[in-house]
Amino acid sequence: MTESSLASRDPVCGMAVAPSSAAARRTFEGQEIFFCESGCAAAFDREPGRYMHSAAPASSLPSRVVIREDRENSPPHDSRLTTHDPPGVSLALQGMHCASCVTTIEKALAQVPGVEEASVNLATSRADVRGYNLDPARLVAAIRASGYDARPAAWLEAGDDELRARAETRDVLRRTLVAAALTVPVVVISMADLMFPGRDFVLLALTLPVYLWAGAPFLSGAVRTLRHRTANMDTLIAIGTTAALALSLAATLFPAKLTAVASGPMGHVYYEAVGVILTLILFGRYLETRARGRTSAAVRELLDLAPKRARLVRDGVEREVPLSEVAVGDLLRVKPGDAIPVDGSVRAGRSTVDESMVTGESLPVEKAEGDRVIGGTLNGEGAIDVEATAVGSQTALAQIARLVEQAQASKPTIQKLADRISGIFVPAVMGIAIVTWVAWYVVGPEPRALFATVAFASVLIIACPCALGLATPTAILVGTGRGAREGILFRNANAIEEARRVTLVLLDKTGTITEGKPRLTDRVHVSGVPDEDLLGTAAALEQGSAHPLARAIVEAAREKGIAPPAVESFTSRTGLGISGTIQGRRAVVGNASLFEQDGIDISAVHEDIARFGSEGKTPLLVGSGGKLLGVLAVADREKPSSKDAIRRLKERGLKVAMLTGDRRDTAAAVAARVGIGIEEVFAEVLASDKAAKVRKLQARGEVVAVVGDGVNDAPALAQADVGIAIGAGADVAIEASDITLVGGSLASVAEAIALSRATLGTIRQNLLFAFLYNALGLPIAAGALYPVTGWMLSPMIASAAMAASSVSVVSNSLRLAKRRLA
Amino acid sequence: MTPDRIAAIGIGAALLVLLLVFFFGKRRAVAAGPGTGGASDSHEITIVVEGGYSPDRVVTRRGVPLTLIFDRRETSPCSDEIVLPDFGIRRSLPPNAKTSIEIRPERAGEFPFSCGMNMLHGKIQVVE
Repeated sequence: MTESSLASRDPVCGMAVAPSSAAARRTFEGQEIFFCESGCAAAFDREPGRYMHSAAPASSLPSRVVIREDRENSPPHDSRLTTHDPPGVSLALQGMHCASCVTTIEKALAQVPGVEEASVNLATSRADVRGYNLDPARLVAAIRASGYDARPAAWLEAGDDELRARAETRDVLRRTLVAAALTVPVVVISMADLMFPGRDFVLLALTLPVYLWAGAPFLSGAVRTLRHRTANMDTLIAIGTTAALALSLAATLFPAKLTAVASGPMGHVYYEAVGVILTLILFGRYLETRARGRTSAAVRELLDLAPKRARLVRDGVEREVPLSEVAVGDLLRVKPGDAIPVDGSVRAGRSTVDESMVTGESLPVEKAEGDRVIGGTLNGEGAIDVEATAVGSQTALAQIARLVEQAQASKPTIQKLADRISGIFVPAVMGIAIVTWVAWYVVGPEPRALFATVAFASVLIIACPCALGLATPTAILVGTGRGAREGILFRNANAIEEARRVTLVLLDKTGTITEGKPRLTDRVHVSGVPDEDLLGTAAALEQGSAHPLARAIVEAAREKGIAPPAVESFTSRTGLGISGTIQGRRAVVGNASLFEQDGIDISAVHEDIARFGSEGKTPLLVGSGGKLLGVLAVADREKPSSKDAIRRLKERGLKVAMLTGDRRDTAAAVAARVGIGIEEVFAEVLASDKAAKVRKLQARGEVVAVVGDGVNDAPALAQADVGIAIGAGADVAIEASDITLVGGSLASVAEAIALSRATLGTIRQNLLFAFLYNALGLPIAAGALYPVTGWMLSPMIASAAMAASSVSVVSNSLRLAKRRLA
Repeated sequence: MTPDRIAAIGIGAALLVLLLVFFFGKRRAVAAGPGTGGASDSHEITIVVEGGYSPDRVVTRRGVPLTLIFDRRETSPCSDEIVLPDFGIRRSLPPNAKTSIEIRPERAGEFPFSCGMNMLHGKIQVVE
């Protein structure tokens, strides 16, 4: 907007476009014209005169207004296909009637400061606005000023979908109950062989509503699919029940011609079959709909973690606002026991936060000023003020939901065969049904027409494309959802497949096995030297340094409440240490060589220095006034969970190795403490050589999973068969990884591998079941057993089998949500 | 063999051929999309979901954001979900409602979309 005075005007949409950032340009009648986006340019190309000779920009085009002032800042799009990033703020609109309303509202929104892109959708009555520091209140005001009404919409209106889904489930249940109520008398009359005048017409009267009303979804579904020249389960059920009804109807209307039917092996007309088939299939569908709703529940529950309202602190005044009105930079107050509304950074206060719902780690995490918090996690006993760093679709929760959705849309290779089969399944079953009918009619026993039609109906009814179609997606849905709940995010189905094959887990040391942040671990005092002197002197000298070791010392002093004294004439001695003057005395902190150069006797701590070295710790000697005060040892400590996690990986038969740029003895000490064998330690590997190391292991035939923090080991993660980024926190969208662990615990690595194995196992079971079910069910329904055993499947049994099969597959997938992984 | 049996075989064979032609025969493509110079030049395409997708073929230009509005006019669970595997999208379509999905194809080619069980099919064709 700031450039609008310098900018030229896009003649198509009327927006200001800075020439430097124009998406397209054209020359028309000697005049240079700039366009905000290629769509406008394309519209212009078709009809330039329309835009150049009219006073006002055409209002009907385009349906979207894009203002870009800084193309570098616009969200990056990589070379592969991407979904357009969801908007920053969504508004639900009221009072829109036509396409020109769209343009009016878009223009009004585009005038609001900070708006980069506004798009209004007439169909959904929503405005999606992208930009920086958007204030929903101002956006709403702009829309009201242009004659419409709006309110901020939740960025994902899961509630609506859920209500509709519930209404659908209720509808299926209602049909099931009505069908059952009408079918019970039909079954009783038929089975008990009750004979009374007009019996068949009574049965017909009871069955017709079941067929026409309860079965209406199947009938209309079948008609609709046939219009598209496709077919699905509805088609099979509709044709199957219609065949059974037609047979019964024929027997009712022309009893004389079909006497054989009444006295045949089946005994009677088939009204009860129609009723029972529809009742059972409807009931199966009801169970399946309910169960399938649960398969995707994990992501919905994750999104529901964020509270609907937040306590906004502005100018010292606290007030409650809807979450959608929170913007980046706002200060929010989080009371004890409240859920943290958005991602942010703690500005004041101290508390512990339960992050288990996002990271899967059961222990609460301490949070103090400067620490990052994740929206949706639960605040403990302290009150904290949090500055919002991400809202709406940019929060970790929203990104997790998006990652999970992406993974759920991908297909494992194992699904390819199932896909090919389901693509032709229904027509194939119809073909089998026709062949069955002809075979029975031609070579079957009398009454041939009856047998043929019964077998025909059974084949159509027993076939269950759903079991096949649901086998993989439901398992992926439940598996990835379960993962998300434990802080394990799979990038795609392929990652799940690969993780199962892993034979060797290569762990980066720093930040993966260890905390990645050195801490003071030991203090050795020369007798009589108090803590204040030892730690205070060291902290005073290290204060100005940004080196991680120095930070560890300063941090330790602060934690102990020791205020470092003032330093004069400060000298840094590269590779050795630091010296300076404290209270008139010359003080030094550094390694043994520094002390030798200065002629300070360190013989008293020789043993300690050697011990620290063997433990992988860095010793820092502290001296003052020509005398040694003591030794501080600093080390990057192992995470408490590392040792146990590595043991569990080994128990699963996986080889565990460690990769680090550190010196061999430091690496060996850490490896020994966490239970990694010395021969599995790859030390002194430069960051740039880590990928080559992975390749070497792969050449040995290992399927390698690399676990790293994704910061400087991205090439190794990318080279690995499975790249696992650990400790992502709020930055869940780590690109190089196949699996992202939100939490920092290595225990999740074993869980991720276990989950991938369990998910793949479930997919295999499901597919095997679906194949076997159809491969055995279809011939039996067609009457393949009749010549041998004289046994023929009733269409009613077929419908029960069919209803049970898809429910079984979904239930089997749902087991993944509960299964023990460790 | 009695005449009715011969007739049954004949009818069966004819039905099988009909089945093949009906389901696997060449079908006419319904194409629509933005930036292709076609009649319906807009950034939004409404796809009616009713036993299938119509249009079941959308032509669009590379790099142009496109909003697909899936207007699902049925409750049959077969069309419960829409999957655009190349775009990493699996979304549930609430019955009798419109669901819009925005995509930005960054590369030319044909990208199929289907229902959750891969039984109903459609295609997005992205041209340069």
